[in-house]
This record gives sequence, structure tokens and C-alpha cells, in this order.
Amino acid sequence: MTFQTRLLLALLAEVAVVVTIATGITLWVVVGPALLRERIRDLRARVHEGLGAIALVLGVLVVNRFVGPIVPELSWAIGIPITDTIFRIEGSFVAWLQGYADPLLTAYFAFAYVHLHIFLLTSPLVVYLFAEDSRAIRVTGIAYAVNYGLGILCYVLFIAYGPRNYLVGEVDSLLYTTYPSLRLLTQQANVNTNAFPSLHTSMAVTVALVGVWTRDQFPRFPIIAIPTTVSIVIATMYLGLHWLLDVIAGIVLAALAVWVGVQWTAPD
Amino acid sequence: MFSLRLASQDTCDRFDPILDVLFAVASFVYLHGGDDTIGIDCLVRCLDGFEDLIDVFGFNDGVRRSTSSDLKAPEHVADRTVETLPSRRTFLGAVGATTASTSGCVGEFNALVRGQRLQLLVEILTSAPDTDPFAPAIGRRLAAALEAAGIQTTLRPTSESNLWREILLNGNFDIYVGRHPIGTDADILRELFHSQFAEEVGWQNPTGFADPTLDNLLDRQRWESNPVRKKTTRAILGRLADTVPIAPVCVPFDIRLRRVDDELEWGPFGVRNALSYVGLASPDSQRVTVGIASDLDGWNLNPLWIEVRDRATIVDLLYDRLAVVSDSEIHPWLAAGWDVVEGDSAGTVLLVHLREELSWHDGNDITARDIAFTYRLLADTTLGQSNTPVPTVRYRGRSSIVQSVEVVDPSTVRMAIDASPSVASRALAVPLLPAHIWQSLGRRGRFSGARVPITAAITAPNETPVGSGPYRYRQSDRTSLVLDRTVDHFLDTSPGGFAGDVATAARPDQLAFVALGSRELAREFLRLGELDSAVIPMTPEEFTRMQADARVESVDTRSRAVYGIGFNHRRYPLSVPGFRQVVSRLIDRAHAARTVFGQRAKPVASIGAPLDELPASLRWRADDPPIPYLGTDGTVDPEQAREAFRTAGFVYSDSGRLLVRR
Repeated sequence: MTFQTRLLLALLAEVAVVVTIATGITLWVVVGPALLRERIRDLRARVHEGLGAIALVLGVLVVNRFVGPIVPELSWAIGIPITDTIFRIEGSFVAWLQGYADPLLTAYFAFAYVHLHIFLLTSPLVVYLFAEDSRAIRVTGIAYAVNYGLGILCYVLFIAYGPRNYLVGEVDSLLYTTYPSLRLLTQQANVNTNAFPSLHTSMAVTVALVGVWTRDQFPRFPIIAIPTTVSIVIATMYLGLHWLLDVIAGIVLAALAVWVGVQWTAPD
Repeated sequence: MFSLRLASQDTCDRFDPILDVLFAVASFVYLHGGDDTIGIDCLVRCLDGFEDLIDVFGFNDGVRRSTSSDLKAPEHVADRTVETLPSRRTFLGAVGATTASTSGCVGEFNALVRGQRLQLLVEILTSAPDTDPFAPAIGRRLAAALEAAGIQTTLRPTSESNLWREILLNGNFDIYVGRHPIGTDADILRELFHSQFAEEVGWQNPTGFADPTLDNLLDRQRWESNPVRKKTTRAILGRLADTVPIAPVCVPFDIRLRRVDDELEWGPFGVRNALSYVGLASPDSQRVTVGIASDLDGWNLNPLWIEVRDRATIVDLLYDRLAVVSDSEIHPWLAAGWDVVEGDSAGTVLLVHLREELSWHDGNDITARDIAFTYRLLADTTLGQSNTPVPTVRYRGRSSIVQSVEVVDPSTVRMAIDASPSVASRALAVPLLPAHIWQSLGRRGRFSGARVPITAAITAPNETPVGSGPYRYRQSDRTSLVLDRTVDHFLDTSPGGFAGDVATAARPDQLAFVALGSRELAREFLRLGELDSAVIPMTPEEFTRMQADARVESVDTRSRAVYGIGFNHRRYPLSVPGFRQVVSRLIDRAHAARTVFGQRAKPVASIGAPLDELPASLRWRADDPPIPYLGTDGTVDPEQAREAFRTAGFVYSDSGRLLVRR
């Protein structure tokens, strides 16, 4: 085992611990002990119903695993460079935002970007296992898949570098300069030219939107999901990884994905 | 929209970004749609409501004629209908002209559409900052300066392998910012700028420059000996300063990061010199781990590939050369020595003697046949299988002067070289390749993204290299490459002369190179003790952070390379010396050395700055720089810049945009 693999595994283990604890607390707060006890009995049936949606997400992830490596090459061949256009529109907004940088804020946003993000994406899949029916989990699965699919399509069509890679000297790559080893984690999945749209934003906003949509069943879920989402969205820009326009595009993508999910699963 | 036309300059500028997006969408559909009408139609649809602009395209006979008269291959549409499609750049240029018109006056608008001139739009290609933070930072400053001078400028970062592929193989760029290895001998300038190489691809004349006066001087120096050659070299540097084929910016320091507590002795050689590893002494002779900057796109170990930077250093450890250049001197390496049997105005004949009992890493003997083969391959990598030779993309300057190589006996060759003896011996400093492996690589190479005829000898990634160097390939994965010390290498069995002086017996048994996707990881891995050393460009900010870490220190050596701004001389108006001279004055070199490099670079006024022959007039003087800056303290004075372009013969629109004829 190389030392990079060893460091990476240690990081993953740490994230796994945080996500497990946070998900446990969320279940307790959002679903509540009574409902948990009641619905754990027919959990198997509910898992079965939601299996299609979860398989869809896994399918998209597997496809991404194989397609991912050729995206940069394909993108260079047919994509259009839009970084300059983005910069012309929004200017140094991200640099301005980083003007408020502070070690504590950086620590929080780095935590939000890595740990809270993974927690936020896992939590609806667990919480909705205890919903009245399987629709919420199916909506979430479909919305995730749409986010990923359209996201990858955009990455092929648009070559966009994030602000840290474009406004050299103006925007600091705060995440990596403060926590260099996180790079080991992110370089597994992220490619520099894949900034538009921000999938971090779109996935998080998706969870928040679905959370609002299911507020009658789980009124406490939006209370957890919305602040977490806002933190992640700000983190993507504060850490110098995404432009404001990436974030806006991510929000639009999320809305579209949730709409597709809701339409698709609508009872006739 | 009518009101927009009449609105003031300031109001109009506010609309530019919106238009930019629409044009981006339209140009995308335009290029990816079937033919050239779809794009325009779509643009019209996109602009529904912006009636005035539709009007512009109603007029667009003028626009279309202008674009189709200037045919260039669209950037990303390789073979598709090149004849009928104007390039995206030209298209956007035309669109740019219409935007300019909406912010100016009607008279000018008519002149633009019907008349002779378009607003100039240039693109600056640079690396992305993860592997090289300097080029994009210089690029940003240049882009801002060009904008201030009324030239719409796009900055386009890309991965380093893409960057050099576009510049050296495809010639697909307007302006680039990059690092140019120069070394210690003036003959490199012949490789970089002689028009005889303008048709070729690779490091030979990458910008397509052609100047008869310079050609003449470059040819002359190769037949001369000192001190006459030094005088000619000074004339060459003077000519380069006048014509500015590549505008020099800085000579960077190369930096090696190391742990304070290690006990390694690196010897006197530069960071990017393979000799630094040969001369490395490790107290326990164990493995030494070195981090290097990488795009994490795999290890290309082909000595003929264009890849620049540290991989060239690694390849030099795997492949020996007949002779090596160090401190302006050439020293025998794999060759025991050579005799100059003839040396006159008709050329030089060298009798080169190999050392005894040399073998390749796979056990085969190295013979004179391999030497003859190597030069045959460098001259034509198809090995005569094609009617059109495909010469190498590196070492072209050195190999092009070799007239013939004749095998005298298994350890001797007779080389006829078209140069004076002092230049001729440099032809020996190319990596030697085993004939039994490379013979089959003359076939057409497959390489995505290259649009030129190229052979497998150049494109093969050569993942399991067989050379004869002091280190041999052991294993590699995505992020690491391990080399073993070669057993019975001549450095151990029969060292002598220069080779014996530089090599240490205590060099490590194993060298492990770790590919680092970012410079922050270098600091982290050094801190954790996972790396012994790292060679990676550091921003001033990262340098400060590193210095705060008591366990990591740096060793600086001034490099023999120049960061420069390259112009594509095949594209107007970059082909105009007056234009380039002004662009060269838009960069504040001293300011860049301070802010971009954190003083770990020297501002320079000549692409030949690393050479000893640099004339006094081209040495950098802070109080009276040879290339005066058109501004102060890193900020260009727009009026001065425009005046300089006007003096060079260029014209501006009323709205302050530089215009060029189609």
C-alpha cells in the first residue's frame, strides 16, 4: 500500500465516522424514536420499493466511474471554454467573499464542503426509509441521477476552471492551502475543468428542496437540511472552488432534477 | 435596443456580459450544428427581442464575407467542413465588432459591417496553476493590460500536456505564456527560431517565426568558433530583441524543497538536471522519494515526447547520452571520447569511441549500430517508410546538423556534422535509443488531439522503458514511479573523467518519484516525512506557509529557462514586429518577478538571458530597463499603450477598441 492510499483511507474513515454519527442524530431528531420503532418492522418492504431509485443512483455512479476519465479529453475536443465569460459577468465576487476569510470560518466551511456534504447526501436516503411510502426516496434517487447525468453532460460541453484556477493571486485555494491532504480525497472525483455547474451545490439544494417537499411528514428535516445546504453552497465559493454562476447553475439544475423526480413518480 | 445604441459608453458596457453569454450559446450551437446557417438562425432566436442585433445580422452579408475570406480550421472541429466554416474565433471577432458598434456611433457601425476593419480579439493560452502557477499569473496580467489597450482578450488555462500539445503539435494558439528551456549554448536559438523549421512540429520553431536576417546569423554561428561565434551570438540576441518572436519575461529560480532533518547531499547540479540524482549521496543508500508536479495523467517516459519539466529529468536517468552538457561544457558520458578528424568550413568529422562492455537494461549489448540508428530515427521517425519525413519533436537542433553516421567497428562511429567543431560535439548530447526496440515504432502514431502526421516513436508513452542510464525502470502506478539503480553501470565499473567526478558511489539504490497534483501536497507529504524532497513551482503565498513549517526548507538555483510570451507568427497581426514590441512593453517584468514569483525570479529583456554572451545593452537594469514598461507598478497606462499601438500603425474605433483589417 502506498502512503497516499494509507492517508486516503484514514481520511475516509474519519469522514465515515462523522457521517454515521450525524446521520444517527438526524434519524433521532427527524423521525423520532416512536416512529423508528414502529416502522423498523416493515423496513424490508420499504427498502425493496426504493431499490429501483437507489439502483439508478448507483448505476449513474458506475457509469461516471467509466466515463469520468475520458470527460476531460472529450471536453477538450468538443467543449467550449467559458471561464473567461463567467469572469466577465461576475468579476471578482469570489475574491470579495474571501475578503471575510478567517481561520474559524475556513475550518467550518472545509468541514461543510467535505463532511457535511456527504452527510447531507446520505441523510435523505436513510430518513425516507421511514416515510409513509417509498415515493420520497424514489424522488431523491431520480433527482440525484438527473443531477449527475446533466452535470456530466455540462462538464463535457463546457470547459470551466474554478476561480482558484483562474484568478491566480486574487483567489486563494483555501481548502487545499489549509487542509492539503483533503486534496487526496477530492482528486479522486474532481477535475479542474469541471466547475460549471457546481454539483456540490446542486446535490445539496436537491436535498433541501425534497426536504421542503416532504415537510408535512418530516417537519424537522428542512430545519437540518436548509442550514447545511446554505453552508455547503457558501463553502463552494468561499473556498475558491466555484464561481457564483456555477452555484446559480447548480441551483437551477437542482430545481430541474427535483421537478423531474416529482413528475416521474407522480401517481397517475 | 435602439436606446442602447444611443446610450453612453458606460451604459453599453453593462450589456456586454449578457451579450457574451448569448454569443457563447450561439457560437456553441453554431459550431456544433450541421452548417453555418444554424448558428446564425439560433443566434437570431436567442436574441429574440434584441431586434437591433438581428438587424446587424440582417446586414450580415458583410460579416459572413469577412469571416469566410479568412479560413482557419475551427478549434475543435477537426476534419469537419473546414472549407466552409469560419473559425469560432473569427466568428466571435465578427460578433465582437457588432457589439463594439452598438456602443459606438452609427457611422462607425456601417464601416465595421461593410468596410474593412474588425475589432481584434486574442486568446492567451496558459497552463492551469496547479502545475505551474506562474504562467497563468503572467497571462492574467497580460490579459488585463491588453484589455486596457483596447484589445478584447480571453485567457484560456489548460492542463500542461494540452498546452504543449496545442502549441508544439497543433500550432493552435494566438499568444501563449510558457517556460522555455534555453540552456547554455546559443545553438538552441537556431532550433527555436530558424525558419527552416517553421513547417515542422515540436520544439523547433514553435511560433512559426521567419526572418532572413536572423536565419543568416543563426546559420553563421554554427560554422564559427569563438571568439567570432560570441560576436555573432550577440548579434543574434540583438536581432531577437528587435523582432520579439517571443517576448521574454523572467528567468525563474528552480526550487528544491527538502526536509531539514534529512542527511541527503544533492551535489552542485541544478534541480532539473539528472546529474543532481547521479551526484546524490544518501547515507544509507536506501530509497529516496521525490515529489514532482504532475497533471496526474500518467507517466510518459518517451525521451522523444514533447513533455517538458521534470519528466525530462527522469527520462535522462533512464537513457544515457554519448555526451552531456554541464556548465557550458560538453563532457564524454557513454562515449569514452571522440577525435576531431576533420574540422573546416566544409564541416566536422568526429570519430566517436564507445566505452567498453556497455549494455541496455534488458541485457543486450550497446553497439555502434544503436548510435547510427538513433540519429536515423531522430532525422525521420518513420525510418524511411513515408515519402515525407517526420523528424523528432525534441533535439531537432542538435540532430539536424548530423549529416551521416557510419559504423566503423562495434564500438566506433564516424559522424559527419555540418558545423564547426565546437558546435558539432553538441550533437552527441541526445538520448541513445536501442535499435532492437525502437525499430518497430516508425508506424503512424495514435494520439488523440494531435492533428499532424506523427509516429508512434513520438507518441508512444513508453511505459516500461529500456535504456542504459544509471537508473532503470522498476514499477509505476498512477501516482508513483520507482526506479532501481542499474547494476554494473559504467559509472560503477569504469568511471573516468567527468562521469567519475560527478557520480557518487553512495547514490541511492532506489529512486521513487511521486506525482503531486498540487503544491500544497508537497508541503504536507514533506511534513509527514513521506517525501525526502519535492520539486514543484511554489507561489509566494505557499512559500510563506512552507517557511512557517520548521521541518521544511528550500534550496534555490537560478534556472537556465525563460518564461516568455509566445506569438503565433502565422496569424495577423501577431506577425507584425511593431505589434509584438508594444505587447512586450505591456508587462511589468520587475513587478511580475516580485508579485508572481515572490522575487524568486529575475526580470529579463532577452530570450537568451541565460546565455553567457548576453550583451550589456540587454542586461536588466531596474532604473533603465531595456524594455520600458508602458505604465507604473503593474498597471498599464491605457493612453500610453494606445499611443504606442497607434505609433505602430494600428487604428482605434471611437469606443477605444483596436481595429485590424480582415
